Amino acid sequence: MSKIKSLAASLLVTATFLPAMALAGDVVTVTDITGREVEVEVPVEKVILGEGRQIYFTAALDGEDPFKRVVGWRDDFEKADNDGYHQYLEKYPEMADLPTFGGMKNGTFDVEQAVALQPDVIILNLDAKVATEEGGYIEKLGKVGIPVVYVDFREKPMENTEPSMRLIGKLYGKEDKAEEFIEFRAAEIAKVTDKLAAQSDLAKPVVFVERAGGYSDDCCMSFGNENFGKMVEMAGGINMAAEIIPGTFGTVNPEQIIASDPDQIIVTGANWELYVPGGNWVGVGAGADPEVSADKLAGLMERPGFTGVKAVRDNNVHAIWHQFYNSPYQFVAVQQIAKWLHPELFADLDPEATFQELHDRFLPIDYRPGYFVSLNSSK
Amino acid sequence: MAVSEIVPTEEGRGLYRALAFRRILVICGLIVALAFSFSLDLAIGPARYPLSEVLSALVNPSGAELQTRVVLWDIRMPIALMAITVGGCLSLAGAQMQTILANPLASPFTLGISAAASFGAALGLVAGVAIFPAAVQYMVPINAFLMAMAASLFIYLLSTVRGVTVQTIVLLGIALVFTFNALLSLLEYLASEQALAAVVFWTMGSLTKATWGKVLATFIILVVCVPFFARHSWALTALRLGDVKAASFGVNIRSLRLKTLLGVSLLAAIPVSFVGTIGFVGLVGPHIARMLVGEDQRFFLPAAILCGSLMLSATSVVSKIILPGAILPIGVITALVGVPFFFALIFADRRQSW
Amino acid sequence: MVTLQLKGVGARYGSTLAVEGVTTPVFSGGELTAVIGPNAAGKSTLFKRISGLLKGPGDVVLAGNRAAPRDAIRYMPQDTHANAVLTVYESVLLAAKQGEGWRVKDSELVEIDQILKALQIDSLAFRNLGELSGGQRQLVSIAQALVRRPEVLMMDEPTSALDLYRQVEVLNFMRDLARRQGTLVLIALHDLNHALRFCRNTMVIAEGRLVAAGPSEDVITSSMLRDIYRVEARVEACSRGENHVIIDRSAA
Repeated sequence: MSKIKSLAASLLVTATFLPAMALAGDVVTVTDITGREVEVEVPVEKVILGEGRQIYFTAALDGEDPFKRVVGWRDDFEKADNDGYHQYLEKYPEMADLPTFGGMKNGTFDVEQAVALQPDVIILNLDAKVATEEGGYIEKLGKVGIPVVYVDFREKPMENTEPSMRLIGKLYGKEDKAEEFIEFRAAEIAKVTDKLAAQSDLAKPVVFVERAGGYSDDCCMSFGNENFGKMVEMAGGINMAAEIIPGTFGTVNPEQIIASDPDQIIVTGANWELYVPGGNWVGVGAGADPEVSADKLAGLMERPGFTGVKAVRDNNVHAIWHQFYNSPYQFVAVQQIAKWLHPELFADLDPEATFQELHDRFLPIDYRPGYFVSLNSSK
Repeated sequence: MAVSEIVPTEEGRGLYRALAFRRILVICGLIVALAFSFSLDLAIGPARYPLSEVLSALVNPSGAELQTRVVLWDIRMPIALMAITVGGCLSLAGAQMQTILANPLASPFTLGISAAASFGAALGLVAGVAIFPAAVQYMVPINAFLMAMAASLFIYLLSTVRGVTVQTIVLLGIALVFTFNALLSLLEYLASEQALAAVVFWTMGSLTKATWGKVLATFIILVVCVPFFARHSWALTALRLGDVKAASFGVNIRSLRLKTLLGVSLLAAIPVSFVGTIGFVGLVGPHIARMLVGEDQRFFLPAAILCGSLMLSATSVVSKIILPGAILPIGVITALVGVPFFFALIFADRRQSW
Repeated sequence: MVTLQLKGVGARYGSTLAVEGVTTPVFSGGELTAVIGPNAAGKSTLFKRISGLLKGPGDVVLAGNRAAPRDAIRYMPQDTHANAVLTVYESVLLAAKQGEGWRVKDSELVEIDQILKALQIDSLAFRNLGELSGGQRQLVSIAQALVRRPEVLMMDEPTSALDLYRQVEVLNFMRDLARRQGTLVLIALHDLNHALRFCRNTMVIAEGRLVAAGPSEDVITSSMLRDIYRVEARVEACSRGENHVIIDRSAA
């Protein structure tokens, strides 16, 4: 009897302590987005973000204190998303003191500095993979016991967002939160895709997406069948440039816009004051003034390549925040695009409300509208 | 050889006149080819208008449909004209560069003018720095132009120093090229993705930036520089016989070199600041002209201009055919179009030197 | 009759005087004067100074010239290998145009035809410069120098690349031309027998200074040859009574 009791007791003790032991730094093997198997001690307490904008997902999971784990990051946040940067800076001024790096993409990653910060993991974007392998960074970091994992929200966002979020959830010890996010996202996307699938014979409008309209005086950069191009297709549209541009990015002859006569035009924009001060870009983003944005958008439509185009005549011209192309929030963009392309079908859909909910449930900062602008004011 | 009773023959004179006439024919041929290329450039494009519609919109713009008129007059025409003026400027600059530097590899970019211009443009695109703050919307072309002229001025000033030889000038230019390219790379490294794409596109050259204003500016530069070179035709040709020979013919070689350098700088800097760097035309255009009509500047100058214009115009047409609807970097296609023609000429006429 | 005299003439490259203190007797048109001396003695420099390509102290006294000095004096440099894409005819035309004007007049073409024929290179008229041999190029240079009928002509080693036949022909031609047109010709030569044979007078330049100037047979002596050329030689009359330089050996 006592043997069984002691066995039961030891089992009970082990059972009680097991989770605690798992919480206190277990070394697990995770699979990153490229299929690499990496050993990491989870939950990580110190992390280096390979791109400043990785704060988008970090804040979603660590909403209560987004910078608690971050010991260093790349310096692109301020320049690429100036409005977002300032939003976070207001609430977390200590953000400005974080050590910054150049990027692995440019081959300027300072391994020594990274080691000095003693991170438990370094999270890199997939597009840094080639440069990282060329520089042999993974081996070098491996020698000092710093693991590297790849995530992706840019190259194949539709495939890789979910596994990326799960991976990060595991690393941060916030698997539940990650699942919550993934569920939320999937449900919101389904609101679009399910409805579209249910339609037989749906008339798909031809959409011209201009990348960073007004950034330079060239006309016009656009997307092939990835990235924003793919988002348009997901939202039930036809990407005008898909047949014309061989790769993911390219430039379209302004005449082609007239020739193709798209039904809808979407211009991506952001606050690029630091890059092109006073430029003709449309500064949509957190807290942007919708009237100013609309004015600039209208100004862009006066360029010769847009003369008499159907979308311009019908005022089906919209601007959308550029950074959606590299963010786990891009499902909100898909919703907004769907609403623009099929207003009657998605009359009940409210992308701003979705974005608001995302901010309320997951993010430590407030939602400030201004990410979307349309010249068709009924939308 | 008796000196006193020399009867001048008819032959030499007659042959020379015939030679000159043949060259004029070649130049006329180039003009015809250019006109043809220009017409194609106007007639071809993604918005496929039938020839009759193009013609009527040309002749009677107010009667044409709005879209047709805009496509023809605001999109196609400036690009077609820009190709002609820019090609002419670059080729002329290259021709005179090769003349005064006595170097067959000289092009307007040998002296670092294009590298400086690229750097200036990148300053604008990447860092938002306007060298001339007053006109921000023209920041990129103004930056490019100012940097290009700064580089030229630098070379010019150094050329006035006593004892500086042609080889020194060329080396100086190469040093500038490397310097500006390094600075450009630095800016590219610091750039955002959009800026980087814009800079790279700029350095590959693009006629799509053409506007009527830019066409006019480039044309004016050409019109201003040509009479100067024409007036000094014989002197410039004489330079090709060597400095001492030319001096013995009474040519003020120093002054001629300096003035030509200034002209070349303008001819290279202005188009580059408008359309980015388009290589190859300035190097090969003059060579083709030389193979066709020789180095007598009275023929060589117009032929060089026409060859450059023709090359760039043909490139514009070809790029629309290869990948309709999209825009390819023009510098790449210029090489693809020009190289086979250049090879053909080299092998057809190996008697010529250079 | 055009005359030329140098009084204390020097020539400056930058701040250094390459040639100085050259004072000569008066030379008259109608005959050839040889300018001899070791390599790098300053013969070319002196020619450049006289033609105005270089500056320096002293006076170049020109008298009896019909045209302005700039047009009357012509310098024919040593041949440099130019690879311009020009025909022979055009390169002589360049010399005729002197960098001015635009249209080509018939009278200019007549001059070119004449000089090409006289030098027997009319068959080369429409060959490219790059195809010519060294000797042929030299003949073209001579044509360029003569086409404007200069009154004073300085020729810098005009026969160095020519074969013996052409050397004699060219020098004969120059002597006849000088006599007929009254041209004053200075020729830098290395062949001292040519100097003796074709040139009435001779100037000797060594180390930037004038060593001797006067009738050729007075200037070209075996002591001069020993001092200036460091060659043991005799100047003796041949069986026809003409003086020739006969070289025995090089001196110490």
